[in-house]
Amino acid sequence: MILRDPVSEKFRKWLVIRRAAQISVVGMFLLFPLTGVAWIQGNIGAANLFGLSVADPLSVLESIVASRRVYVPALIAAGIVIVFYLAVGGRAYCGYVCPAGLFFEASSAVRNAVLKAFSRPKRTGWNVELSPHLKYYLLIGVLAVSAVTGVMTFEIFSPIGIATRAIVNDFAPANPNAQNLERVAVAGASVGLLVLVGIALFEAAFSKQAWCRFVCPLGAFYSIVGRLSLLRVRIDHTDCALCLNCQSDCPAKYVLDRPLAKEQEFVTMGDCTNCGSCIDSCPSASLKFALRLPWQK
Amino acid sequence: MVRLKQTVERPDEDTYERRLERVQEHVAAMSRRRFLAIPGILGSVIGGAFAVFEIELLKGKKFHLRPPGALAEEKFLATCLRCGQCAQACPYNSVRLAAAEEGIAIGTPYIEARRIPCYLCEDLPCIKACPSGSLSKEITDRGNVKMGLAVIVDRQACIALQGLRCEVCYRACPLLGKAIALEFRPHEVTGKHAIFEPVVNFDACVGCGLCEHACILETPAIKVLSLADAKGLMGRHYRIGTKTG
Ligand code: SF4
Ligand code: SF4
Ligand code: SF4
Ligand code: SF4
Repeated sequence: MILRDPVSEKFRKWLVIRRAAQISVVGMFLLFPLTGVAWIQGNIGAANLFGLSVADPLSVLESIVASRRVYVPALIAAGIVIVFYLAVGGRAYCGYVCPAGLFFEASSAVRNAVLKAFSRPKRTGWNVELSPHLKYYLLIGVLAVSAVTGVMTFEIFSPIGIATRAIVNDFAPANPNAQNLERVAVAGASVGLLVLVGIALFEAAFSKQAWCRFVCPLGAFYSIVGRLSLLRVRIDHTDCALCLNCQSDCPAKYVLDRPLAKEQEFVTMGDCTNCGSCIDSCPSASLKFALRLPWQK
Repeated sequence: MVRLKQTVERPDEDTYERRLERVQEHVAAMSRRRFLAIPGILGSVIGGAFAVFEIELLKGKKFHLRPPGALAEEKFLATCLRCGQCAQACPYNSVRLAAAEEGIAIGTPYIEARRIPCYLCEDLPCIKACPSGSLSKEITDRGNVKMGLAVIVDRQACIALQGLRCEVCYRACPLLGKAIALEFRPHEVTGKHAIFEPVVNFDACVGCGLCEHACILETPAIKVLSLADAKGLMGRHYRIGTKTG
């Protein structure tokens, strides 16, 4: 992890915060399997945090359309999560929480290192760019297929679920306080992990974070939440020299287009993960997190 | 910042105004670009149809015991969030999460009776832990659990039916005497011995699998089957005047 931005020479505060958050999320879910301290139980699909039941809102939505039934406690658990991301930014989930996201970022780091080692400067290597709209079609598709088949569809291939279960449920006995300490889950040690590794290899070879940017239905879901979120990046044009350092570091570059063109004050597009890379890399401190009301531009 | 301003205000063509123009042109160009909705919709419909076909093929592949209180399999696959909290709550590590090889059931909890059966806890912590209602909170009494039904699947292998004393399944049952009873009858070959036949009462059996786990054979003669596999259904036109309770 490079702690200083190579161009602006600034300390990358948000990167550090983000890595700390991503690692704590995994650590949080490992607390019980590793120590038997039952403060936090569950995994990324649903969890019990100090007695508060929270659930992945997309999973709950799928379960509602698949079972044609609303189970109120699950709806409340999902609602709490939605309210949280409405406050901190929809795809902040992607930047700070998602364990698969962390894994795919690692694959980008490998890609960068390989390109640096073997290419002349400026070479970008193979690069596949798809449309960021693709993921919305997948989101609709996943919900439609869940409704038709009555089976929660995203869960079947979700690398997020697979990665998390591999780490959380496969690592140790499910219940370390049990009388017999047999390993219980087998979710990770299986072909499921191939999905994860396959995506990571594809990304390392052809396209950085392609899953997150173009495919992930959960990312699409949080992108919609993000449009209404309160915490967003604000640009102040007084000192901005349009060096575009921010945009070159941004994982979703187009979200900065309009703010940079002075058309908007805020990054309003849902694909912004509130990762803060732009803030870290701006040499003139023109970017900041600020409170945005949903109708503000 | 100072360093930057110097590069910015050099009197060559790369001025701030030029850069702003370029950025604005780019935005204008991007907003003129239209995403091709037709191929997207077409692709989704074809992909969706394919996914539906695949899922229908994979449905009902194989029977697993689900944890106590589990909804019927089709409702279970529609609601379980695959969070593993039931597994974490189980004091016997009975509940496993399915691997990807299980197809559409990936990540869902199941119990392999021969490995670790369900010990049918008095307080059913697995049901309490479930956030999705997939393990129904309506089941509060362990006697009302219905995970499956135990069946002597091989009468020729069960040693009790060969006239040997065994009754291990009978002793293992948490609802001893209610879910499995022993029926005695004379051994026809020797004439002096008795056969102690374990007989499952479907009304009481909860399907916990303790009997299957306990069976002393290398492959158990008693197995828990799904309700659909185990239960027969009488035609409505039968009138049984001699029904014995
Ligand atoms: S605009 Fe900034 S905070 Fe948003 S994704 Fe891009 S770099 Fe991250
Ligand atoms: S009843 Fe007890 S032993 Fe059986 S699955 Fe639930 S927690 Fe485990
Ligand atoms: S606790 Fe409920 S939702 Fe979670 S894995 Fe078990 S059955 Fe599924
Ligand atoms: S499965 Fe076997 S041990 Fe469990 S209740 Fe039924 S007969 Fe008894």
